[in-house]
Amino acid sequence: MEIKVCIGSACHLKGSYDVIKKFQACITKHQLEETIILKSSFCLGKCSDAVSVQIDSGEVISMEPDAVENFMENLKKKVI
Amino acid sequence: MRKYENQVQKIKSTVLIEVARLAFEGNLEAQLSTIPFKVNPGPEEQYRCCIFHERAITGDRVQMAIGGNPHIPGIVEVLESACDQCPVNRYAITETCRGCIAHRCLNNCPVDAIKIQSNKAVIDYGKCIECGRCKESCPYNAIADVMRPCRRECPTNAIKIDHRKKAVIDYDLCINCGACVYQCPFGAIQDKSEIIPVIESLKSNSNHLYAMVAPAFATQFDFVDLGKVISGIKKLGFRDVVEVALGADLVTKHEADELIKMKYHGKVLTSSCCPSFVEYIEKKFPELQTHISSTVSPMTATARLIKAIDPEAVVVFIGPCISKKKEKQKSTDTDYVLTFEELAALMDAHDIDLESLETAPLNNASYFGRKFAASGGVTLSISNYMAEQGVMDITPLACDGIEACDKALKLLKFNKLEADFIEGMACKGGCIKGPVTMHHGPKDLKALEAYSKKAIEDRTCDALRIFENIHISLE
Repeated sequence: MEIKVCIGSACHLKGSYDVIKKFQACITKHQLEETIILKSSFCLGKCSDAVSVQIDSGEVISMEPDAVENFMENLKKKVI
Repeated sequence: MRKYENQVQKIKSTVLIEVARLAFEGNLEAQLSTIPFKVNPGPEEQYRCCIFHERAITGDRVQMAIGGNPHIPGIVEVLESACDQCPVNRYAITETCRGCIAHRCLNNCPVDAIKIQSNKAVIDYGKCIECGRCKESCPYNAIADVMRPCRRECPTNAIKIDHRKKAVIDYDLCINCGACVYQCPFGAIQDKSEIIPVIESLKSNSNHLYAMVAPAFATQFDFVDLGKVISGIKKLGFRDVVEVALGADLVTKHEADELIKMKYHGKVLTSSCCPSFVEYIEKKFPELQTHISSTVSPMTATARLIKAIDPEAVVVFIGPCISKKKEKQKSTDTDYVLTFEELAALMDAHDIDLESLETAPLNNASYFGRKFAASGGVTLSISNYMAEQGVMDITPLACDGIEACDKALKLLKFNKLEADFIEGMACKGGCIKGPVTMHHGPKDLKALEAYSKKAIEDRTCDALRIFENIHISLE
């Protein structure tokens, strides 16, 4: 599975770095390094919301840094 | 509304817009020959001897807009039809000559090239060595230096004059700085354009087309909020707009590390950001080539960064520089290079009303990355980065313009340079004074400073931390 985090200007200003860091921490915590590849991406086309995140080629979702942990908990259930 | 600096710039833009418009419509090939009639409808001529001459010149400008002569190795070409055959001889006695009694011009001429005929000074051009002493000595300023602007501004003496008095470029000497393009008052020297392949890419609706905007952007489009221009670029069909200042941040770190190594070996490092400065060393000081930084330019660094994130990316650099067009030819990293003038033409041809657009942010790079666009910016950024790493004993030298670069390189050649690092910028003032910017003004430096201060990332390392897991070669 591939998680793409937008680092385009609009998302960067809203905290792409924090979102990436949170994802990295969660991946390490849940030992998902083999299952999940974390990538950066340029504009995903939803600049007006929070940081854009895309799982594989799915829908683009808006992610606040604080929401990453919950999101990953749910994702882990789906992945495993 | 956009204001043109002068008629030459307006004419060049008008042709670019017409060519771009037809290319967007898909009618370029069929209607190429109609452009001169549209640009110069006649029946009266505006600037030249007749309407036919004006149309011929427009035809030549169209050729440059669609890529120029592929057999000519340089980026800059003389438009023969437009070259006005300015005087070949440098000094001319004007009507102001009073026919005085002192004849200081005659007495100061070291080669006896001045005679007095009918009580007025006359120059014998067979003898004149263009030293200028006659001009300096005349109390009435009656002797004019009418050296051709193209020759006067060319830093490498690459412009010659052929038997028909037309300017000819010696590409073995030309460093593609574009000074002649900016200075020719007839617009007879122009840069080759890549607007056609860029328009074709835009029309392909690819989701992988990226615009890389040079930090000199801060001084452009002064009639509208820059955020609206970012929206305009996206509206053209670019997926995203990326700051080249971010590449400058990457370069800062890499070049600083390189500088420490060079200093350890007791060698001077010269910057590699300005391709004309690099070409100047290669052509005028080949023995100093080992001093040139092996770090890529901010343009290349940005291109590699984008392609590391999106391997299918096609990247278009947009800047104030003609020399970048040459730099691009030497590597495969950047796909196309546009100038600010060309960007404006694409937006006009696409009928994009910038005023009506929402503003979009452009903010990834650091304050220091953005400052690369002015002379002294590279030095400032590298010194600051090194100080943060605890390295303080660096003596950098920022050379503003080719003349200053030449002086420093001569000192380096004779081991008399008291510096560890030479920042070389071919354009006086730096990239913000580039030859193909839309306007050059006294507020350029202030505009760059204001734009730099808006950077959300204060330091180089702050801007780069988001890329710590992306590994790209910067050599």
